This record gives sequence, structure tokens and C-alpha cells, in this order.
Amino acid sequence: MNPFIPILAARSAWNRRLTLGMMVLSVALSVVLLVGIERLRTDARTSFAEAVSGTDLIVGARANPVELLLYAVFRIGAATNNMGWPSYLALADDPAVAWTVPLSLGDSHRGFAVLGTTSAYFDHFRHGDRTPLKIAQGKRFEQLFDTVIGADVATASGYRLGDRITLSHGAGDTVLAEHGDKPFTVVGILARTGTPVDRTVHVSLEAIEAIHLNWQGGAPVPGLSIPAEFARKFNLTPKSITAALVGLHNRSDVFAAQRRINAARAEPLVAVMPGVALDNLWQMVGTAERTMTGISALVAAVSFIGLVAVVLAGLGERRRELAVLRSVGAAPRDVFTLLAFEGLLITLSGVVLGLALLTAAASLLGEFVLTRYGVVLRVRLPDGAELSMLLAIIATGLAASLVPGYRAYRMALADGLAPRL
Amino acid sequence: MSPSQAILIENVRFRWKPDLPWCLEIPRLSLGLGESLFLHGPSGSGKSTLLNLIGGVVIADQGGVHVLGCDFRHTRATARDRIRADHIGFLFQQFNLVPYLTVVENVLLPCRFSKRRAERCLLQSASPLAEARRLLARLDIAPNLLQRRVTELSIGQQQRVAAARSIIGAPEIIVADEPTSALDAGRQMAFLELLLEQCAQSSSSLLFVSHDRRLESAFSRTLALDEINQAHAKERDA
Ligand SMILES: Nc1ncnc2c1ncn2[C@@H]1O[C@H](COP(=O)(O)OP(=O)(O)OP(=O)(O)O)[C@@H](O)[C@H]1O
Ligand SMILES: [Mg+2]
Repeated sequence: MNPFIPILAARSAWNRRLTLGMMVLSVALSVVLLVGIERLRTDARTSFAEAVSGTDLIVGARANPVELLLYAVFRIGAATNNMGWPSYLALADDPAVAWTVPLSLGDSHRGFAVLGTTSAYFDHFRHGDRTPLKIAQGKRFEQLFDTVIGADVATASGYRLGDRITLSHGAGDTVLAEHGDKPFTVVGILARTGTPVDRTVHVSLEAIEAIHLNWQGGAPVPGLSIPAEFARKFNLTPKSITAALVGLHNRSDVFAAQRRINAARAEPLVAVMPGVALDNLWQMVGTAERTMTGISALVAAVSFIGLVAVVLAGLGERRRELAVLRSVGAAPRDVFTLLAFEGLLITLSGVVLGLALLTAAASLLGEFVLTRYGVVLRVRLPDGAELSMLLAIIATGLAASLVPGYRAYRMALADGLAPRL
Repeated sequence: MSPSQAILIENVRFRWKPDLPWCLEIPRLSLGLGESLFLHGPSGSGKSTLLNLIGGVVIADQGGVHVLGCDFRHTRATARDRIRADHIGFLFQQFNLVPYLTVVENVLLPCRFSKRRAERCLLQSASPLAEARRLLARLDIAPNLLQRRVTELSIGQQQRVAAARSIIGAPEIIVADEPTSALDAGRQMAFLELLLEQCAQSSSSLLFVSHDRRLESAFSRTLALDEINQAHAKERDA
């Protein structure tokens, strides 16, 4: 190929930069859609997977495993039934079980979930690549009305150690009443994890019992008020919890342990392997994902049809120019390359611009998506599936460019040195 | 073997499409080395078609078109493109230039497609760029115009830029298809003299096509296409 042809193609494209710029934008937007959805998909998967690393089983009252996982770990969806405290104690006694962490959910603070648990939570909970929790400031909860808050809770409300906060009964849209009579003191702030932990207010299991002492059936008992200082005198052993995280001595025991728990006689329980439940979850959302990807593929197809149309439309005005090139020695093949290059140039610029837009979007919207959906958007170079997607886009662009290229080739042959106008 | 003729056309018949009548039927037409030939004929007589045959862009249905001793009957399309790039400078009535390139870039265009013409620039100048500047100066293009886009030039200026482009790299043959018709009478003569002078300097043969007979005195030979073109003679008889 004549090395001057790409230069000529670039000069010609620059000459029509406004029109072609629109095409670049349209290709870029299809890249944003296609790669963006793929990226959201993988980011969601990693984020979810990283939020439960190191837990072998999640145990709760018998329910849909995916629902249990979503509620217990991601605070998404409706509350499941509780499991009885004796079942939890029995679970902890299972010889295969190394550790258990009880989880008690249902209350909230300014939209953040309140989690009742024990000190074991700070010992055994793992996120990311099996990273333990780290307390950035302060200490674990010790007193009944102590609380340890996640990084986002602290930044969102500007809380510092020693601040007093009150919890609300219920979560999300169904906040019913304030536990205003029993304020908590912030004694610890966790380091950021990029998981739902950051948006959680942690208190002891006993505290959850204490704030509900004067409650019955989800509402305060009228006329009954138990001041905070008296709450300690009650038996604060919980009657039930939402779920338990379980770690085994030996991972290979997981199926046996799961079978044992599922067969528990005292109470119907379900033991969920987080990885398996997540796989089920992704299978469930798979159809929606494929629809989205299909729509984006259509958008990409539309922009490439537009690209062909625009380059073809420009061809009419360029017949004379092509004849000039023919007269100075350009072969029909050179004319073909010139036109094909233009399409390729638009495609490549579109891909680069699309990736730039994606990066910008990830850094601008990252915070929002994280707090809202618990998904960490990673700013990174395309890899794996994304790369093959980009290659497919470029290949389509190249194929689309062959159309005007071929048309110009035919024209060069038919027109000779003087274009027919 | 060095050819005795720059262009030799023998018993050529050509039509644009198989279902059309012959457009050209020429028993013999030649252009000698260093010769300047004035070819005239009414509109539609096939002048531009003849130039397409000489450029090797289309191929005769019968007979031989020889350019610098090369018989186009036995030359592949790519080789004909090469010959056109290396040995022929074309100059048209209008639409000679690539609109998005600068004046200098347009003049240098043949050197981009022909190494030979780029190298032959060095006979006169230090580089193709210097040669382009030299030719443009000779053709009275002000230095401040060189980096302008050609669309900002007047028609007359564009014609001279196109002339510089046809001459650069001293091709053996220069083919001009009514290059002066957009110019006024005074400028036509001046332009023609410049063109002839440049051809003489690089000892190029010039085939000059026009229907304006006032210019023919400047050439060494004149030919009427409709007299040698049998196709049109028959048409008239019919
Ligand atoms: N690319 C082409 N395809 C089909 N027919 C063509 C083509 N070019 C020229 N013709 C036909 O060939 C005939 C001669 O045309 P040509 O352009 O050679 O005339 P000309 O002598 O150059 O005329 P003018 O002085 O107006 O430029 C015309 O009838 C024209 O319609
Ligand atoms: Mg003509």
C-alpha cells in the first residue's frame, strides 16, 4: 500500500471533521453502551463476590437462598424469616464449624442499615481478597449503646468518635419509628472496604434486644417506656437473629455441613454457599443482561449503518478528487484503501473516545453507583471480554468501511480521469 | 530499447460500452519525443476519451496504444497505473486539485505516487519540495500562497498550480485537456507560453487538447481529431 494513502485519508477526514465528528460520537456512544454494560456486569460480579470472601456458608431460616444472601450480605430486598437463637448456638457447636458470626438486621439509621452482631464479626468477616476489617479510628463496641460505623456512614453524616446517634425501626421506605429514647455513641469508624460494610451501622446483638424491649409486634407498646439505664438489667440474649456467617475448619467439609444444616430438625434452616447463590443470582439477571447487550449491539449496528451512509454520501462530492488522484497515478486499489481508511479512522476514533467517556463516567458516577448499588466501578484498561468486544466493534467498522471503499473502487474504474457528474 | 515515439496509436477502436457505437476509430496517431501537438475537435468528438486511453485508465477494444514503447495490450492495470504515475503529467480544464491539500502538497502529489518523479526533482533542485517551490515561482505563484488551501486560490492561480503539478518530476509526456478554457485570452497565451517553456526545459512531449484554434500557432503540429477519427466520419456520413 502507498504510505501516503493514510495521510491523505486523515487530511480528507479532517477537512470534513464536523460531519465525521458526529459519526465518531455515534460510534463512541455505542462503545460506551456495549463496553459499559459489560463492565458494569463484571464490576457488579466482582463487587458482590468480594463482599463475602472468606465465608463458607450463610445460614438462615429456610428461604430462597438468593434472597437470603441478598438480604444478609447486601441489605437488598425484603427481610427473610428469622432463625432461632438455639439453632444458632447449635450451629456454633457443629464440629466442622470453626467460627460463626450472628447477623441481626431490620433497623436503620438515616438510610444506612443497622447490623447487630458480636465481636466475632470483626475477627472473621472478610472482604475483597480475604482482607479483614480494619478500624480506622476508635475501637470495637464494648458498652451496650456503643456503635461502630462504616466509612460511608461517617463521611455522609460527618460523624466523629463520641457523636451520639439514634436508630430507627425498619429500613428504607418502611421506617416506622425512632428509637429516640436510646441513643448510641460512636466508638469506632471502620476503614473503607468498598462493600456494604461501609454503609452499615454496627451495634451489639444485645443492643438490638435492648432497643426493642418496649416493643411488641413491630411497634412500641403504648405507655411502656424503659429508660436506657435500666435496659442493662434485662436479659438481653436474643431470641432470634436474621442469619449467621459460618466459617469451616476445612473447606472440603462444606457440602457435608450444608447437608447437615439443611436437615436440622429443630427448625427449617437453609445453608447457602455464597458463590453458588451468586451464580444463581447472575443466572436470574442473565436474561436482562442479554437484552441490554442485544439493544446495545443494535445501537452499534445503527451507528455503523450511519457511518456507511455518511461516507457514501461524501463520496459523490469526492469523485473529482478521486479522478485527480487517479491522474497522478493512484490505482483503483489506492482509491479503495483511501475510503476504507476513512471508515476505519472514524471507528478507531470512536473507540478511543468511547473508552475515554467510559473512564470519565466511571470516575464521575463511581461514588453514586457505589452508595446506591454497592458496585465498585473500576477505572481500568479494557481486558478479556471487553477487549474482544472492542475488537468486534473495530472489525465491524472495518467491514462497514469496505462498502464505500468498494463503491469508490468501482467509480474509479468507471470514471477514468474525468468524473461523470 | 528507447522508443522512437512518446505515444503511438495504431488501428485503435474503442467504445465505452459494448452496446454503444465506436467512440474512437483511429488508424494512426503519434506524438514524437519532445514534440508539442495541438489536438482539436468539437465537443463530444472523443478527445477526453483518447486521453483516458493514453493514461491507461481504459483499454482499447482493438489495436494498440503504445506509451513510451510500452504496448498497453500486454500491460496489466497496475503496470499501466505505474506508467501513468512515472511518465505522464496530466492537466485538466478544471477540478485539477485536491481541495483539502495546500498548494505545495498538491504540486507534490505526483511525487507521492511515483518514486521516479520524486527522484527526478533532484535534477533541478535539492528536494521535491524545493522543486515544487521553484516551479510555483516560475509560474508566478506568490510565496505567501504556498501553504494556503487551493480552494482559496483564483481559477487562474489554480490552473498554474495544476501546471506545476503536471510538470514536477519532469515526466516524458504531458497531457493537457483544455487547461486554458477558464482563462481570459491574455492569460491563456501567457499560461501556454509558460507551459511550453517548462516542457522544453524538461524535454517533455506535450499533447494539448482544445477546441480553441487560436492557440494552435504555438505548437509544432496540429491535428483535428474528427478528421482522423473514423467513427465520427461514419456518423457524419450516415
Ligand atoms: N466514462 C464514460 N462512460 C461512458 N461514456 C463516456 C465516458 N466518457 C465519455 N463518454 C462518451 O464518449 C463520447 C466522447 O466524450 P469525450 O468526453 O471524450 O468528448 P470530448 O471530445 O472530450 O468533449 P469535450 O470537448 O466536451 O470535452 C461522448 O459521447 C461521451 O458521452
Ligand atoms: Mg473533454
